[in-house]
Amino acid sequence: MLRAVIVLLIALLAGVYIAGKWTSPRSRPDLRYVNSSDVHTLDPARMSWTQDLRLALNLWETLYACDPRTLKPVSAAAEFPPEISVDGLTWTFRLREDGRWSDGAPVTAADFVRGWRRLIEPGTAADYAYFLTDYVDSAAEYVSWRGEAVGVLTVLSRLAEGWSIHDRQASVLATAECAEIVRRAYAEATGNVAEPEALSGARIARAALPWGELHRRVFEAHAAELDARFAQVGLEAVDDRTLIVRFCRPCPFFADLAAFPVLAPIHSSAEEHRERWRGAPLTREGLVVYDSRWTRPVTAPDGAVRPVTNGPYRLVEWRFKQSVRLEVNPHHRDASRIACRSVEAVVFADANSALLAYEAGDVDFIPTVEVSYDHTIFRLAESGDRPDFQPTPLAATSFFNFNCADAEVEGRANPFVDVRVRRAFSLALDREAIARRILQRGDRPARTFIPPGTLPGYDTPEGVPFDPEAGRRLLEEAGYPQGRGLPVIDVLFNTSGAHPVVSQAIARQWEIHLGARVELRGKESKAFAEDKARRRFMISQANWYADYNDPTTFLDVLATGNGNNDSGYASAEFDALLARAGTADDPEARMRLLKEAEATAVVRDAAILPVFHYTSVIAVREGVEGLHPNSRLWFPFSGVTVRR
Amino acid sequence: MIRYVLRRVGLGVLTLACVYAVTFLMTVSVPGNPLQSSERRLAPEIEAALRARYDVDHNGRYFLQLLSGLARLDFGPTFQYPDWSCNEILAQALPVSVLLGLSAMLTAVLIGVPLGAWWAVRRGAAGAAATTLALLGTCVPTFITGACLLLCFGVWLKIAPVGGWGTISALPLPTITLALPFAAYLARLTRVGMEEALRQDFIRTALARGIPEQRVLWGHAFPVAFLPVLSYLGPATAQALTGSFVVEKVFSVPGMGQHFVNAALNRDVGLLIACVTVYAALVIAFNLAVDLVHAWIDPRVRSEVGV
Repeated sequence: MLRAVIVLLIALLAGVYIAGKWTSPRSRPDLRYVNSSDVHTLDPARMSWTQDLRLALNLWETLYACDPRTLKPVSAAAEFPPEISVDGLTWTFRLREDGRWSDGAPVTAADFVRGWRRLIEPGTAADYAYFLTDYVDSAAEYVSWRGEAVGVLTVLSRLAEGWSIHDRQASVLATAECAEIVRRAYAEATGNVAEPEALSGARIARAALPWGELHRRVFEAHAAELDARFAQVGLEAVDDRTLIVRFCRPCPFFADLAAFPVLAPIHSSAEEHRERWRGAPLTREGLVVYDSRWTRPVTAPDGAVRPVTNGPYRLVEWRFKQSVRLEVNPHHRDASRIACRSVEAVVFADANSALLAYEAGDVDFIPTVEVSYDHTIFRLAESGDRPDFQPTPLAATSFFNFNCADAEVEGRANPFVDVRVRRAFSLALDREAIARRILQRGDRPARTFIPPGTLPGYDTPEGVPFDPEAGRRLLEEAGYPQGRGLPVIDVLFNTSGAHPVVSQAIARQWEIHLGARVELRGKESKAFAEDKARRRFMISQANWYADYNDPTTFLDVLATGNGNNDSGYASAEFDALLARAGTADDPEARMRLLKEAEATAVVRDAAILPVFHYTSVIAVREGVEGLHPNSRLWFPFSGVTVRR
Repeated sequence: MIRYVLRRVGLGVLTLACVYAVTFLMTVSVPGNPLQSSERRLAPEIEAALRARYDVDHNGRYFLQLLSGLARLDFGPTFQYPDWSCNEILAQALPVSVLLGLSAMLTAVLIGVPLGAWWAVRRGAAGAAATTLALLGTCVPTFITGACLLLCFGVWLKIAPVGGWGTISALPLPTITLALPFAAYLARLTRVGMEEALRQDFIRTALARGIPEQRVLWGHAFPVAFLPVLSYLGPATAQALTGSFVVEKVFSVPGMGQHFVNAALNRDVGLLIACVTVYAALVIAFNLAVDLVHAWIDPRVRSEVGV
């Protein structure tokens, strides 16, 4: 018996020893900060999370950079300002001579075109592809041409492998692009001339055609045409240092977009990671896909360090769910002037542990302190007891979407198709109470969609007041005196963070002020997103964060048919105001039109219910200088100095 | 013996196949879009292309695709972390969890078993101490124990880092936190086993024959009392090895537990199946190992196994 126990113990000890390929403690970086969850991706084109973008803006240098104090664009890879044609549709960017990749090679205009092309390729599935497709000439056409071809190739490759396909998928075979090829093949295979109906949908999919051969033909035709089609897009590298961008409509804030890390250049070495099929740099489905590992730090046998980046830092280590380490890019023009030589982003999944680590001095900086006792943190910051806690108003809004489109939701009549009901509910909300008494963490009550004072040059319209009396009158006009006749109001919210508390408070206020009965429906993120996307709600909670310094970063969300317009709001008047602003020459007139647009959608039509504008507390250890709090939590590390 | 092992391995593979099928069915039938990673919505044609690329447009195809990957021990890509494959994620997380789990189980055995035996034999102060520990270990949730330990040793005494991984000093706090509930349960199991054994006739006979009390206790009673503990150690070790979400979160340990939970929340089918498969394989392997050790110790079981 004893020997059994001894053997067991020895086995366990051996296991511990073998499993523990224990690394030696590493040198402490100059700056160590908290990443609340690990980065999702370090591929700049695919980014959409703040913590990813924060690393990207230190790893890659875009045409311009965002000054962390003013959030205005300044020279980076290119000289600011760009040369703009009289009609505002052609911008010429001059790249700086001293731009260098981390392997020492000069940064060229072609590197930017390569990076930007990746951004719009369907295989990248970039959240921010619209930065280019909405404005750059022929970019949208290129993407839809590519999207169509990918659809056809996907179906053909499935059929070639002998899989069945949905009717919906089969219908792409009748598109103009490939119908001719399919028609010819059909005629050859069956001896009949293909009737139009034979070519549509499911019938053709069931025909015994040489699908493999067809796929090859369509694939080769598409691959051959690829570069010629892209050449029509308004992105042109005239020479190594000149990049010309042609727009299909004016984009006065493109200098801001050009400072956003998704528009980073990509080094030619990344191309080695492209998946290829039949000699073309495309997958079977026609997608442009890079081997996901291209962003992982490695030292190649020839001594080259990958990935090659052009920002002030390069990536030296990435331990998944643990840490990302950056060191100064020795070839960067400012390399010798950068005081903060190494940066480490460490993952703390638990916000409380992150704060403990900060208190113990293990980390120097927390970009957002998100603990359950955040009101205490805010109080400490505001009272001056903890000057290292800095409350920072963000360009971000927490709001609710009214379902403006569906007359019925889950079998119940939806009263919110009536603008009077929406306005009544918006008027009957005491936002002051929610921000100051319930959240108590410095958030500002939101009477408009765009947080006042966060976008330079924009004057916020008069927002929605708190006037329950007016709300009750409107509700009576709409046929619901004292809330009688209203169906049970269905409110959908995401159960993370403060959303449940805020939703409860709002429901209570509507019960008191309007006599409405409210049913709260909390769901975890994925299920919530699904319900929201299918518009299975009367009212649903939402957030929006500014991506660039222009009111359209908020207002475009409410445009008819916008992919993020979850309320289903569709107003010709609002769309027309946005369109007029889009072509206005005078910047002031443009801002006035945008202000009118916001007043129309948010105050008059109450498409959404703004609740509060976020404030975040950042924690910076004493002795760390140069991390300027700003409304986008944009922190370049190259200007940071650390004193221990 | 070999036939027994082969049969058990065969059964294990069958169990794994069932686990895989059930997990797959459950993950694809829950609402939620695995390809959606942020608030923004994907354009329809892009989503369709991606669905095709990852085979999620066709459940049957996807099932076979994942299964063939499984046979090659290649768990494929994840949806949430495009820069990493499931295998790479497991390769980073599993050793961390194995190290933490083994050291926690070792600690738990070293504390729990002697304490339980002692508890059964001695009453009074020792019993009270053991009861307190067992109660605390069972009742106090690990996120409280963990936070208390962090506060004491990390923030006040500054003798351990506040979370993180990669240095030997980062190991003790999460190990103790993870070990405590196991230790408490082991102590209770040992105590019950020991008390049961001490009531047996052969113990009385041994004592009557004049064998010294200590030898009767440790040589005769303890082996019998240890059997239920052994049965428990198999699944418990498997559980400890695959990580604990809470301990990992509190101490920022990059182990398996968080992937389990996050993969389910993100509808990351590939990663979830990878995690579940590894966990199931470990449970099966440890149960088999425990049964073999059982057979080695206990002659009654040995005849069943056919040694």
